Amino acid sequence: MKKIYKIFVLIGFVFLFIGATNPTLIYTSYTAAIVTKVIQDVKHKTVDSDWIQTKPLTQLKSNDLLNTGKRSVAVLKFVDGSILRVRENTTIMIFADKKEKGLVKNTKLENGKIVFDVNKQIDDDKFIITTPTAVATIRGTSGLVETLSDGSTLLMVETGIVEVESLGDKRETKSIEAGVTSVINPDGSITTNVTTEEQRKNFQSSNKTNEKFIQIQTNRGNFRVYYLDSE
Amino acid sequence: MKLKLFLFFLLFVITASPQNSINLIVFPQLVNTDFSSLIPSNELQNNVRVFCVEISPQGVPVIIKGVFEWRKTGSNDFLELGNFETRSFISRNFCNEDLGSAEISIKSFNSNRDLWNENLRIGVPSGTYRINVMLYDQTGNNLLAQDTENLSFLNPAQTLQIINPRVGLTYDAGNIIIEWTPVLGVDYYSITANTRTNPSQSLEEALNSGIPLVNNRNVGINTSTNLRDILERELVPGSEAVIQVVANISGPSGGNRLFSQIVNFYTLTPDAPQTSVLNLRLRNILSRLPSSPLLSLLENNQINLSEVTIRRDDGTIMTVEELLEFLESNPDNILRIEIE
Repeated sequence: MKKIYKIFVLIGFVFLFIGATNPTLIYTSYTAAIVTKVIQDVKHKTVDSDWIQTKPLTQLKSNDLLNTGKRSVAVLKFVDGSILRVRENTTIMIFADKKEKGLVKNTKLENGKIVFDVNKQIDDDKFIITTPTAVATIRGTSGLVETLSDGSTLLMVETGIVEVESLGDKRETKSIEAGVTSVINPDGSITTNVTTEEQRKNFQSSNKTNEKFIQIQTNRGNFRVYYLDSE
Repeated sequence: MKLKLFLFFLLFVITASPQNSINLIVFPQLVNTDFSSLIPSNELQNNVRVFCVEISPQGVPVIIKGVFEWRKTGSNDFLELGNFETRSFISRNFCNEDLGSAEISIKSFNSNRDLWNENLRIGVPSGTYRINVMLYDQTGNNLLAQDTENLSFLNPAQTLQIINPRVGLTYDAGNIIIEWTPVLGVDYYSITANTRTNPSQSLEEALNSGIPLVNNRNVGINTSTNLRDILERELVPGSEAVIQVVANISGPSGGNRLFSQIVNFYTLTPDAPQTSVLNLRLRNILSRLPSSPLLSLLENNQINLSEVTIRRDDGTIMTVEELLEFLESNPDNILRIEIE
């Protein structure tokens, strides 16, 4: 009987050790977001599974990956009501870490473009977007984050304020206000400029996730051009 | 005592006599390199330094044999791309751009044509290359030393392709969108365009002759621009034009330039009927959208645009001009085109 007790204690310690050294095992139980819309080719991957086609109402938990293909879009709703529109050819990883009075949500943007519409974060709530060159902390605002081909990150703030910290050697921290677009370079420098008309159009275009169609009736049959429109 | 002296003498002779050695130095930090830098040729002098070879002893006749191998990105095995052998030369340190010079001429170069073609299609080195160099005496029969280094490229499969305009197509001179594939690490793109006045001109000759339409214009890091916005002189309707995009990348020795293919295209004649202009505009925008049979039907004049009816999903009617304007201003939001 004592031996069995010892074995159970040992197993308990092993689980404690694994949990302490591999936080992913602790976080996997938190549902961070729900996929509310899937347009064309969207896949996701959990810690234990391979890539699978994503369907509407799929729950994304901490450490899950989501990928959109060419001309494909996914819309995610977080537990606090914040919305993330994941544009084509984008890969993100979702993290959620429960605090005493809230939930820290961290979306790691590996590559591509996301549009965020974040509800006001209260108490210990935090909404963070991490890219290869930046960490953006959002406390209730909307805008766009995109990884650029030169390795830098573009952050466009449409409403509110976003705190951004660069990750390169010249580590900088800046508050980016509404109407300002910043580029966070791989060397850690942050440049800010007033959002141009072209960048604003890019944001408005990227915000469109409502699928509609135009019908073209011809003597060789009818065609449908499916497109994305505003919600 | 004699034995000790003899052993000491022997040790002295061994350590004092020149040791044959070959040391290969590669420059793995290069972000982007012209692929032709790896081709040793007596006719083609390379100017991009990829690797150097240190030989000891110097000043004696030697032959160098080399083998290039390639491991594709995602593959585990190295495959032989080719091998070369120099003629006998007086040993000295050299770099790849010296191969094929009068002093270090190439005796033979053999290659796996399929693999070279695959690399050339990629355009720049990608994956991992292994360079093996072997030092032989002047007979080429006795191997004196050898060295091997891997050359990994940081940006695999870097190519620059013009997506639009497309080769041989006709466009409305006032609305030609130039669009190309992105290149990682680019500082800025520049564009050169010119008219081709004579069909006997090569595309390259046409690009570089006379006063260009666009002269090496810096267009920043965007991957598209409207030709109209950067024209330095008028693009005459009914003419043929050529265009090339260059990605300018900073790096060692002043950086590197990655060239796109040169694309030739035509501009619509001024007296073309209105339906032809609409057909052309629709074909041009459809060629940049997800593929559909609609494009080939328009290209083969099997659809007459004056006879089509276009409806929004709420049933309201659109004109062809409205459809074109919508497609041209929202190309990224078009998901797919399906036949009902």
